Amino acid sequence: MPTAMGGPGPQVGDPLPAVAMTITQETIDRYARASGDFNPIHVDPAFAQRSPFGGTIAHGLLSLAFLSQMMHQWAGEAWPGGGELEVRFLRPVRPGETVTATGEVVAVTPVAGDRCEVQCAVRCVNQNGQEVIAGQATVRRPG
Amino acid sequence: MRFQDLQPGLAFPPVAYTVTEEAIRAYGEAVGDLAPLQAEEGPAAHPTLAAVFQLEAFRVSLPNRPPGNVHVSQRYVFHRPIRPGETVETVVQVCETFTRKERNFVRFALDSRVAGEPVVSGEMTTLWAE
Repeated sequence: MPTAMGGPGPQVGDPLPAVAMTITQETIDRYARASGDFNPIHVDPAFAQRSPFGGTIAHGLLSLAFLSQMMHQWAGEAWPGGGELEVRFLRPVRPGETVTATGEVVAVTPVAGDRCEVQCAVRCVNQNGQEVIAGQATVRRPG
Repeated sequence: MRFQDLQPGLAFPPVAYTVTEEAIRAYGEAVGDLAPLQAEEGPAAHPTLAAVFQLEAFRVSLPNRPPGNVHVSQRYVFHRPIRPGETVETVVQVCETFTRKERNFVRFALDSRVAGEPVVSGEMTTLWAE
């Protein structure tokens, strides 16, 4: 779809810029301090070992942060100014795992004012390619 | 708080949180992203700092949660950037309760405002263990 600037706007299939991080217990502890969420399943290895998970797991909202970072890099200020993100938490992330946020444009719909609503399928996968969180992000941008 | 105590429409008093540059930096270092502090328009919070102040509001509103609850899904609508020094007030409300496969779920709305103006709307669905 051509834009008012003459350049191509977002197209279905466009990839979003991936964001990746290897999660350590230190990463999880740092997120706990920053967020105030000290649930022992995240920060107490002895407690977590006795839980059904058999060990500590990262906060799900840490992985969600990577999706938001990816959308912010791609859409700029349109992301904090009207972005929508909806995800399901599918699988725990354990220390030592690498989480990668990826996504692509799945629909582009014109809206008022030479802008378009862009829907993206987004997910975080672990180092085995398994989805840990997945969902949809929507942003309105020039287009 | 048990599942049967959580009736749709139940709302809790607003919980205030003042966003500071220190809190944004600590969050940014934890998630590996300091870009919002270096934005041309001036420092702003990461949109997902909502995960911090909305969950704090949730913990304050519902201090006695059963162990074993599971965060199932999360939705955010970001209305505008939040700047250091702004005080966000979040109201937690029960939207819906439902039971699937003999498991109980609660969907909460978390509405965050600065001086009455919406800044982040959240929705969180939780498996309620008791």
